Amino acid sequence: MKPVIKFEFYRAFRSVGFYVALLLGTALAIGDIVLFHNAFRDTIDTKVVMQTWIGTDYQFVTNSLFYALLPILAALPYAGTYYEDIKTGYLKNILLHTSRRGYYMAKSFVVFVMAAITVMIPLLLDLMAVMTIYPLRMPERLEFLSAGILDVNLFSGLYETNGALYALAFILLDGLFAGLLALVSVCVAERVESMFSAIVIPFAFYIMWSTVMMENNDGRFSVMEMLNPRQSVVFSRLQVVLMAVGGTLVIILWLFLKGRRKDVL
Amino acid sequence: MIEVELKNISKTIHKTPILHDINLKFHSGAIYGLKGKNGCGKTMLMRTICGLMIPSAGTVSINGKVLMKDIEFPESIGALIENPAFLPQYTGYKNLCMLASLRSDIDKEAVAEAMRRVQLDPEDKRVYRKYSLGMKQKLGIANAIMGEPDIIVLDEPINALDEASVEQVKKVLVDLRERDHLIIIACHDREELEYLSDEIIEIKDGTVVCKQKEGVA
Repeated sequence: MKPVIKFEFYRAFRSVGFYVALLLGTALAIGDIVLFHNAFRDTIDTKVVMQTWIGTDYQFVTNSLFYALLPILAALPYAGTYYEDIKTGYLKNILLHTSRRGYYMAKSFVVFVMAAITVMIPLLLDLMAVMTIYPLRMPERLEFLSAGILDVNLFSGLYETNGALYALAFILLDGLFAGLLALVSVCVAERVESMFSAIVIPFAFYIMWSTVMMENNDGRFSVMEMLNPRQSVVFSRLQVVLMAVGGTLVIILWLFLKGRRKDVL
Repeated sequence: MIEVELKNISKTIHKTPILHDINLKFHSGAIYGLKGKNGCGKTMLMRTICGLMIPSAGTVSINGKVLMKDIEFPESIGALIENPAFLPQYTGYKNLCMLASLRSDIDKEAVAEAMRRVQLDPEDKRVYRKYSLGMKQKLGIANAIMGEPDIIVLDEPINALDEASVEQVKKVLVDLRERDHLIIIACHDREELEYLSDEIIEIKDGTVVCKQKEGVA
């Protein structure tokens, strides 16, 4: 399987979608820093990392935009290539040199990893940038501009003791879910008529699901709220793990079982 | 020595029978021609032999190893089925090298040699999307023959090729046959099929209706 994983990564790192998504995510992160700095120019010396990092900064639209667009950022890099491989017939060429199992495992792995890093890199860059500008001192709980992270919230202990680690925990979580959402693109690829649909369907599902969940259940099953470090909704660790890890395993298993006896027409 | 055996192969897709009770044997050192109207099942049969399509009934075995039971795909096979399909942003040489990298037994020199045999220049810097139809077809053939696999399956290989290229491809196929490879081709050009093939298999409505040995017009 190693050669086919190498092959898929070779294609992935040369994909235009990867760089477009990275640019978009990074632009949002930089935009957030600039907006914050401009808005609080006069009191900038009193601001801290956890007020300015895009994940916990709820003042500007950039946080909401980033987390709303997360499925697009995740799918753009490589998720559409399964659709491309099927529709162009390129899949035949690959399969004759490898195996179905090898191809589906490699495709799933690379799609997942590319989605994760595309979402994680802008968040990490933003964190590193704000850490060079603002102190890591923790804000007072519920201080103006602070995300209201309470004891019942996820990683609240980390938020109290080390904001950077709190941010890193959420960056990892966001990466995991980004991978999961990108795999949804792969799952729908056989059923859609265009690559645009394959990329946009997870986004549409994500937004619709989150909207419906916010209207009912106070957002307790909203993936968009679960991923957002400002945590306006309380989630349990078990719920997060089940949805992230469980969802990923189910999708990969489904892809593998379906692909195992797939006719390549 | 390679023997490919199809036993009672049938295939139905969405309740439509595509292939029905096909029994065939192929041996290395021969070129087998598949003949029949559009939609008769030639391409589907080729897909089945390659392991790309799983039959609804019956088995395909390569030297006794059954596809989808003992092995998933034939261990040494090259194929051009329907349209050649490659990544448009890379050169022909790069495309083949990327595919060759999936296996350990095809090096860059073998890729270049395969391209030269079909009169393509490995040094050509044009990307695949800029290739003419004939060049794309030749690249598909080069992909099928690179590394000289034991089994070569070619669906309409001389489509879109000029006369000189057709002659070159014929030379390549005859040469491969002389060196004991098994070649299965489908072709609408009756003359070319009869020239090349040691045995012609006629397919109609998904069944084999006739097998003609060499020398029978």
